[in-house]
Amino acid sequence: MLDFVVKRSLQVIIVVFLALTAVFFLIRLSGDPTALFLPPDTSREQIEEYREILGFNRPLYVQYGEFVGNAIQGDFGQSLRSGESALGLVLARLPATFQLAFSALFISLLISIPLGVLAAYKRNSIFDRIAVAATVVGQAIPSFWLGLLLIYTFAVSFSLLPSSGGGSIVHLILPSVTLATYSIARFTRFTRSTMLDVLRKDYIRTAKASGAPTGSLVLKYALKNSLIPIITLVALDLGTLLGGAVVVEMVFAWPGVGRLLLQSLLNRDFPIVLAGVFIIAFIYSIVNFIADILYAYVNPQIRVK
Amino acid sequence: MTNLLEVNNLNICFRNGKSITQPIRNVNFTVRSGEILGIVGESGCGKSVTSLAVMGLLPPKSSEITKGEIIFNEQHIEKMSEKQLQNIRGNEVSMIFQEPMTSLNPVFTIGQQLMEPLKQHKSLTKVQRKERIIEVLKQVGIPRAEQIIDEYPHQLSGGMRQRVMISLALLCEPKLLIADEPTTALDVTIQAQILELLKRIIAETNMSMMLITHDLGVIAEMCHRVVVMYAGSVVEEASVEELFDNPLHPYTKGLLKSLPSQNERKSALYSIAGQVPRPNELGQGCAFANRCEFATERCLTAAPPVFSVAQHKAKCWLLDETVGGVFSE
Repeated sequence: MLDFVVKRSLQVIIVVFLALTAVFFLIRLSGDPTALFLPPDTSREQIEEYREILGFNRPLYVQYGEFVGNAIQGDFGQSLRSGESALGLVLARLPATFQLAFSALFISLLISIPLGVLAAYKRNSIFDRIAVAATVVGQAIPSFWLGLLLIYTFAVSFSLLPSSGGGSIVHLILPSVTLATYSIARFTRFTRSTMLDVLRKDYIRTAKASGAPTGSLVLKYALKNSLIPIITLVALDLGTLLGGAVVVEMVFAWPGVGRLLLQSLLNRDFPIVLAGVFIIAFIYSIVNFIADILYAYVNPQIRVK
Repeated sequence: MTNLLEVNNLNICFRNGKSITQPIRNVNFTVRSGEILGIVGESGCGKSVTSLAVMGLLPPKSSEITKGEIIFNEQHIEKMSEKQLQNIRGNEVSMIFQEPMTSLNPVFTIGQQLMEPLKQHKSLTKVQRKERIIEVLKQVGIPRAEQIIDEYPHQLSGGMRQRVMISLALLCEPKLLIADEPTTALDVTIQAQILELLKRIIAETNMSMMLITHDLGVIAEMCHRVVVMYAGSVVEEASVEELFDNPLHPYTKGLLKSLPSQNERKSALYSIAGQVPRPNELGQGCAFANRCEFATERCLTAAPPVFSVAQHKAKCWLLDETVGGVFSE
């Protein structure tokens, strides 16, 4: 087990390092941001001077070396705009992102797994057909449009829920439902097809031949086997929910990491972007690490001795 | 001997969209208590479908018993509800399947899987259940049974898994054990061990067994009586000695002739010419007529009834009254 943890920790470090390196160079392709931070009438000399201060006039490999050296010590520099610690700004946004991602995940699991299991069990029934059709719609709806639709309905027309901002459970409802819709559809389809596959297996027939009642056949014997691939999908999607909820965060003005990253990217506030990428890559790797442990828990065949 | 299982005039249809095929036609046979009945035939002749029907395990939406009855221990299986079937399966009738590698659930321990039928059918305490499981595992020749119950299927070899499958089937001491090609997936030495084990268990208990196989060697080794199936119907039924010494149906004769012999070294082995007709290609006459070297005009136009010569039955016109056969249905 220790061996496994050490090996996986090394992998996490490599993944994070590669992600940072890629983003570091890609973001520099967008050009030198110095001028953006200064008033339009700033003289060329002043811009040069400022560039000198920020270090953007040095060769790229020197900048990269310095960045890596500092990053190893946990220093991602200061925001070019506000002068605050870049990592600090990202970390401050993290709780809001977690809140949104986990509530969306919770909602989607709560709905999609029972729905998928039931659809598989009642294959080709009216219920199954409606469920499949609904998942197609759920996957096809763009989240910004669904978000606007929900705002229009629940915030504007009925004034039931706030349209934007964060801070309370009430604020959480619309964005998490919006974010969950896609996952619900995806997980339901996946659960359904995995269950259909498992229900055809020889060992299900064996259980049936030993007199197992239908309920335990589906919920015990089949579901535990289906969970193996479902966990993988959920882990991958949780990574996306944590790092990629940008659109939903924008629509609902949710104060999360995604929105901060997008704004910083538009402002070319490099330190914040890199700190954000660091955090997201790190969380993504950790989530996958946890998924692997869970995976071993449900699948004895890969359990680490 | 009394009849434990009677299959009378069984007909089964499969539906796939609008197309209907009938893989089982007018199948009749009985299993007496305490005997091992062999069902032999080539792939697709309906052996497995018949056994699944006896277990009530045919897929309910796509298949249907259109005619006939399956009477087990004086109860009509074909009329039972799913609930009633659940009470019988694993309890009074058990089944061992062909594929030990995939027939055990990979995410539950052997103990957890063996626990289930006992929970379902017997009122035992947890300790008694565990004792019973260990007892049965030892009965089927599994060493270190106490440890095996905490292991997962992938930790066991194929032969061991098949032993576990057998113990799963034996747990509740069923009256009838259906073994559907129990040794096909195993290598030869393990095959012999498993067959020996099954034979011993049947001899020790008063259980009956329906042994489904395509291997005549297995039949000769194991069974008391044999039913030969061809294209969804029973073509011959006899005691093992009688069948091997004096096969009546040309198909059975062909099968026996196809067995490689130890004494001769021929370049090519004998095989029955032609192919088994698909269920939808069957016409009016005998299903075997197109491959039969003795086929006459009558064989092509009318399906033969069952004729019996003493205790030996076969569905073939060659046995009609002119040679002393008795029309038996």
